[in-house]
Amino acid sequence: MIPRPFTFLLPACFLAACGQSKPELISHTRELTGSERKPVLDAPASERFQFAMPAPAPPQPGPEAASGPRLAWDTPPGWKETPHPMRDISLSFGDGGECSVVRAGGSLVDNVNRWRKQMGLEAISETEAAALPTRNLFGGPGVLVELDGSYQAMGTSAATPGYRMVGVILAVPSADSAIFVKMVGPRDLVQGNEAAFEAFCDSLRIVNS
Amino acid sequence: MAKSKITALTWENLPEAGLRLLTSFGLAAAVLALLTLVTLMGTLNQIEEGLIDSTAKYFESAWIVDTIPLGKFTVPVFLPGGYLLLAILFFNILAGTILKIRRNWKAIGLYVSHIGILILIFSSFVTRHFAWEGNMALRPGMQSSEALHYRNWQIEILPVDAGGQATQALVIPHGELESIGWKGQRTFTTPDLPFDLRITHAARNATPIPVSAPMADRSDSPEVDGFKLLQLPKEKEAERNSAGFCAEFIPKNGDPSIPAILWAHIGGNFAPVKPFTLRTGGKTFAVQVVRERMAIPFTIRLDQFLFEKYAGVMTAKNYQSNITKLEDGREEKLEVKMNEPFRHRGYTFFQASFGPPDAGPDDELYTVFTVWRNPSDHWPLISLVVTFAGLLAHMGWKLAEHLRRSTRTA
Repeated sequence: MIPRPFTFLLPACFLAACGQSKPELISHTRELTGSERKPVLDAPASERFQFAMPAPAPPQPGPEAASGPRLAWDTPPGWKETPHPMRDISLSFGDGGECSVVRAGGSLVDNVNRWRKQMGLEAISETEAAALPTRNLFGGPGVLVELDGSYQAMGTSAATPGYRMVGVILAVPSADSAIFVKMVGPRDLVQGNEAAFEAFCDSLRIVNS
Repeated sequence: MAKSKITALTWENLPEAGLRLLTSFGLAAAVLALLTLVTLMGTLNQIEEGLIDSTAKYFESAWIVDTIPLGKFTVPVFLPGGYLLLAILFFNILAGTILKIRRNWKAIGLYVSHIGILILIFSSFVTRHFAWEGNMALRPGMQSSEALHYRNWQIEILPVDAGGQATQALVIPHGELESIGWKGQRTFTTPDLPFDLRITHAARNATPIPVSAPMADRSDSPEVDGFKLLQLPKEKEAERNSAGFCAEFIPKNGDPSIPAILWAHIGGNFAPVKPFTLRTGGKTFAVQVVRERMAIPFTIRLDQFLFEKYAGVMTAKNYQSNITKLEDGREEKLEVKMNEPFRHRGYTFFQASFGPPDAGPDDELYTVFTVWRNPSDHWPLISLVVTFAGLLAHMGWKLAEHLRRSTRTA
């Protein structure tokens, strides 16, 4: 039983309910100018969504692949998942710290120098890249890269000083590709999370879904 | 004659009691104390939520409903918002000015200073409801008479003719999309289109993600062309958000509906928009998510962008845009420099930045203006002048009165 003083609300509720299902009229228009008058038609979804290539296939770790392998990991305490379209795993922590796992091609020295350029550092030679220390990643020898400098993220116009990057690159010759695990952020923040990064790298594994 | 004290609230004295409350110094003091608290909380909240969301939550709201983490505890917060507090303060000062200040010429300074404060509060109301901020990027030789909003996105449907040309866009404005949310839905129609458009899974910040990616499992959006739409946390810098929507085009002729993911990649200043192409009822449409547009009643052309840097580094020392304003067939040469904006007809053009970010020494640079339209742009200055004049008059009168008394006593 609805108290009498509130019965006046019934028609309003009814109207509100009707309003939700009734299509709303598009009443605004805009005159197009310049190149807008010739829209790009029939762009596939991968192009519209800025993917240069089709969606990446899952890594092929071995005999289990046929049963549906997928990446698994343990998110370190205090870190959170911040999904990104171009990354297999994307995590963030603190104020400005982030960690990602991606797959891409290119030689070791090119990729190390790409990271060095992001940190505002000079390129190194192939010999110097080959001499970098390694750490275990997916059971293989990943090349460990530790850089301090001014970080310029993709798509930004200015470098931010006082940043640190720690990354591991594992070449996968059978797939002509490499797996990149990278942590970057303000130096103190990254240094304070290096143990968490180690634990994250150790937790990376392929499981069958 | 002194007013009698109200000891018990009755129907008869209710209007008078309400008026006394509205004009009371106690109310003004309480509102000012709460404004101080809200300002402090809103400022601290910017660390977590960024400027735009904090402004909306604390300063542009009627009520603040939030929680604050304090150590192990989470404290619920329920407070009047900045908008409501300023509205109360406005009417408190207005009523006090009319009813409390003595009506004689000696009080003219008090009247004027109160009016100055009222102008300041009213200007914040005008800014809240009528100001618009966006940007305009121009390459040398390029001209434009519209600015793009920094944060608001809109869906546009472009009917395309047989030659692939479109002249007009049907627009679903930001205001009508904002309230849909991830779980809601809204359907839009017009007799000009052979379909209705249903929008679901609306997110201010989202990304399409291939269904093969591990993180695609986090999304409950429909799968379209091998992608799902994944809702992302809002960026602290609100202009970095990319809005996303799931769309369903429902042909009016009864044909099966066509799903699509519509996404606004923030891209660069001149990044081409790649719309979703829809073919139904023998017609072609391009559907895109673009930044909200503001038409400007004159045209700006960039003639030259000048960039001066410190020796040996790429840090800008000074940069300016030499522009031409085209209006009613007339041309006017102007300069827009750092800290020297160009103002015209309520629009202000600030020299905001330039690009491209990775430009080499010989690359052509483009300019980016922040375009600000605010009918109350100068009101705070007017308010300060009026308030100052009022206080000066009042204090001048008081000083003169004091000197006169001192002379008499002597």
